[in-house]
Amino acid sequence: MGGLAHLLERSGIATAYISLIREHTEAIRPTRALWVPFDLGRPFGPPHERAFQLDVLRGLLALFPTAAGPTIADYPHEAPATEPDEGPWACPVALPARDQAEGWEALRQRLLDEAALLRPWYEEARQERGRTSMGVSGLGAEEIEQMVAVLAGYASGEAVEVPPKANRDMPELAKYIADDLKAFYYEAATAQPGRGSPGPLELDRWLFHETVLGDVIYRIRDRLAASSDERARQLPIFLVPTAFTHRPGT
Amino acid sequence: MVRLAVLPPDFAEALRRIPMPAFEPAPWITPPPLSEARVALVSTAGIHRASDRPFDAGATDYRIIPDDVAAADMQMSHVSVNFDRSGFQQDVNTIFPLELLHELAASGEIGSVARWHYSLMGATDPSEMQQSAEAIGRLLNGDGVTAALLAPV
Repeated sequence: MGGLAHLLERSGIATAYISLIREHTEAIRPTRALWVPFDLGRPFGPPHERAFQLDVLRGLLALFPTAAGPTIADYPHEAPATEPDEGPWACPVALPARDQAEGWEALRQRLLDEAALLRPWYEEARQERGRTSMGVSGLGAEEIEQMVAVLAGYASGEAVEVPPKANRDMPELAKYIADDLKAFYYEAATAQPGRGSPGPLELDRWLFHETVLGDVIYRIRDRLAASSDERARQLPIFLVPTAFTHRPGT
Repeated sequence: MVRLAVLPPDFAEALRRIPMPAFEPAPWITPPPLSEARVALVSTAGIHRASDRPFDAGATDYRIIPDDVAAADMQMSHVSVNFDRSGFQQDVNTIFPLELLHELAASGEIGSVARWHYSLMGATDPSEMQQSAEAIGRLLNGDGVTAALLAPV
């Protein structure tokens, strides 16, 4: 971010930017930076905290009249918590336990069953928000059977048929379908009533430690890493977050 | 909560190891007062309109985001999985507060909002983005922008 700010300033544009990792901003020598103590992925604060987000935005804009030289200002407030008194978040929809199902048909069916349990909440989210973030693979919730077939097939070592609407070939397609299905799961999970919106780590822990999709993504990650195709071997780091590299039970 | 000390150790170490390129500071720019500023957003979250091309791994190019873009038309194809997307999924303002910027323009706190905004994918080494940054700089100047707000993800 800081590098891009320097490049834009060379064009005569004054810049101010959000810093999420103070150590990086210190190293790159900022123009005007506002360091915020928020989760990666939430530079203006949590969702639906409009007054808080506006305050962050005003804090960033305030650097223009106040900074007389390179500046890192610290935003003084933590992000509003998501009802911490109610304990850790758990997905209200009871999903079947993961087992060691082998064979692509069994895996495909378990993944389809899981997605079917979450679909009503995905549809609720889509209706309430008027949008979905699915679609980066070229496929959407209407093609979920095709998406599941690709992931279960690749995870099981089967030949995979690329769906007609997909915007990439294998093996890259597996990564972007995984991203789309994760969006489906997270949009469903965050639509459910109960204890506020789950935090990012809670969502990742749920997906990678409890769901069939998480199990399938680990299997795909391992197949890509062991592939003889150099393109495939570059993809594993884009499948599983670094904080969840170690599969549960390993 | 992005204090490296509180992140999972493997992840914090990976973040510490990211090399930071050195940049020579450009001459200091003093923008006009905020009430006269024309403000644009520049995001490195890998967002774009659904009809636009997704970003690929290693992308150094950029996407334009018209000021009247609908939230329902916004997608994110950033290659990294090491940040939260659920905030964006629930509320675009979490990463791209265009609606809030318009609120500040309507109240006179800023002069105006740019006609176009820009998005890149921040996983790429910024020193490889020079060509895109120069193009965006020209486009911002052409739009009369005096202040750019940059946000990572």
